[in-house]
Amino acid sequence: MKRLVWLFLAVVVGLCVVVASWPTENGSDSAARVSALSHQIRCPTCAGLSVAESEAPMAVSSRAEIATQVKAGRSDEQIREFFVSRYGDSALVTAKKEGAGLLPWLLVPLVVLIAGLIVFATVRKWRTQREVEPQTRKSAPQFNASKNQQRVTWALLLGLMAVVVSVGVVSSTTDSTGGSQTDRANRVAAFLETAGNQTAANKPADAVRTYDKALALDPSNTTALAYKGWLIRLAGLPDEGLIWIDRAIEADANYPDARFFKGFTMLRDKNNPTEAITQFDAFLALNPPPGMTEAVKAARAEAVTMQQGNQAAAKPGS
Amino acid sequence: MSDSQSNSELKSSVRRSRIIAAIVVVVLVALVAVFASRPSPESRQAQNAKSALIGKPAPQIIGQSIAGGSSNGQGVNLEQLRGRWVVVNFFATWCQPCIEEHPELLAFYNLHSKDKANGPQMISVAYQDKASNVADFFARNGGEWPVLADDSGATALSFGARGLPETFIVDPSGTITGHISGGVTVSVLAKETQQ
Repeated sequence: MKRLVWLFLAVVVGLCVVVASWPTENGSDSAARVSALSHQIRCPTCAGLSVAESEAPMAVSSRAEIATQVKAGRSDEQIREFFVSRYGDSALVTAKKEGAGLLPWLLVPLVVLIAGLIVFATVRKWRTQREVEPQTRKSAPQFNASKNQQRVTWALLLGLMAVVVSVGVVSSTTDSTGGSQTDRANRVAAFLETAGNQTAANKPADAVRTYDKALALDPSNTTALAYKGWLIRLAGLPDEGLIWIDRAIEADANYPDARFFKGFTMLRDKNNPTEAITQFDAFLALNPPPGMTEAVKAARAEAVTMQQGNQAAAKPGS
Repeated sequence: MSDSQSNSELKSSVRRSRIIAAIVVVVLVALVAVFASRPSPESRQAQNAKSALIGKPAPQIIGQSIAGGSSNGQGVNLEQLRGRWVVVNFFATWCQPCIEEHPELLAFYNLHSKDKANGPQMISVAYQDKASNVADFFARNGGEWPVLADDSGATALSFGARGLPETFIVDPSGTITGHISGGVTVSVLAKETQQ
């Protein structure tokens, strides 16, 4: 009877968890769906950001496309599939829980279940033995104590292993597939916003410290790397700034802001127009915001003039 | 305790240890499989570089040309171009590599200009660009093929485009068979449209 009560409670709790975590697509309005989907779709041209977190032109286009498709009555799954069919599985911030993506999610409960069964069986056998064989236990107390100790040790070891495996699996999936990546991305996004505000408030030192906090959570965050480098360069340390800007380019060669920063640093601080032109060309090829395009084109023209001047000066007899 | 009891306990203990060892091995193998199945940054980049639409039907493109000399104002429907190779080029006049790429597109177009009815058809898609800038660009640099505006970026998204310039090759059956990120050359286009 007691077992039935526990079983009933377990089923009720399980159902509550399932119901609470079940997606409620039908009940949400269009704006909420667009917002939720924008957080699920990865920006095609930015590193590690969803289209909701980026202002890159392709991210803006993606948000508009999501809104159009929601308005057209397409389901969330159809909209996700639209992006996956064009950009592959990497289009989703959280990988689909099917195929290989399902493995981590099956493994954790499996390990916990196995460990639980072993612990349950060990304890049950231990109890039965105590009830059925009191005389034997009395006659060989040392042997049984040692055996029970062994069983408990095994059970504890398996429990520990289950925890380690679970943590390992969850941490392995958080980088590429897990839902906690979104939490981390949100924290990083919050740090980036704070750093942006600190920069606007003319507090570059505070902004650099905040970018460091973002980098502690996401060491390859291109925005934090590039803007930290740019602020350091503005502080009069172009060489040190370039180290961070180069890291941003290394993390994502298609991040236009890093190309912009490197181009200007090479042109203004390093007297290297050739490298500046390379960076400006790379910038212009990456769907840059229209407002920045004219400034870069002008800087590129300046770099070309400087390059021609340098070449003329290098010619013998000139 | 008798010897037989002791032997039985020992066998039971050994059996249990084997079962536990087997479970440990299975769990470890599964764990290794999980880590091994994680996409590396390199594989993710490789995945990014390759279009997911290769081998799939090309998304539909319908519109009216906003530039391209004699093609200006002409209606374009990709589905109606079945039976011909189609080169779909995404570009913008503010994109320096696109400007540098244009002579190659022009040379490829001129190569097939004598066989306009059956030769490869070119379609340019101007990504988030001003129609007047696009018209000026084609008037200045040449090119008589249709150019469609993609102000919202919806066409670029439907093709899974990531940056500019980017070119997709559509075979006569309407299937995407080629994808070139960055500037194209005449030889690359010739090779891609002669499979």
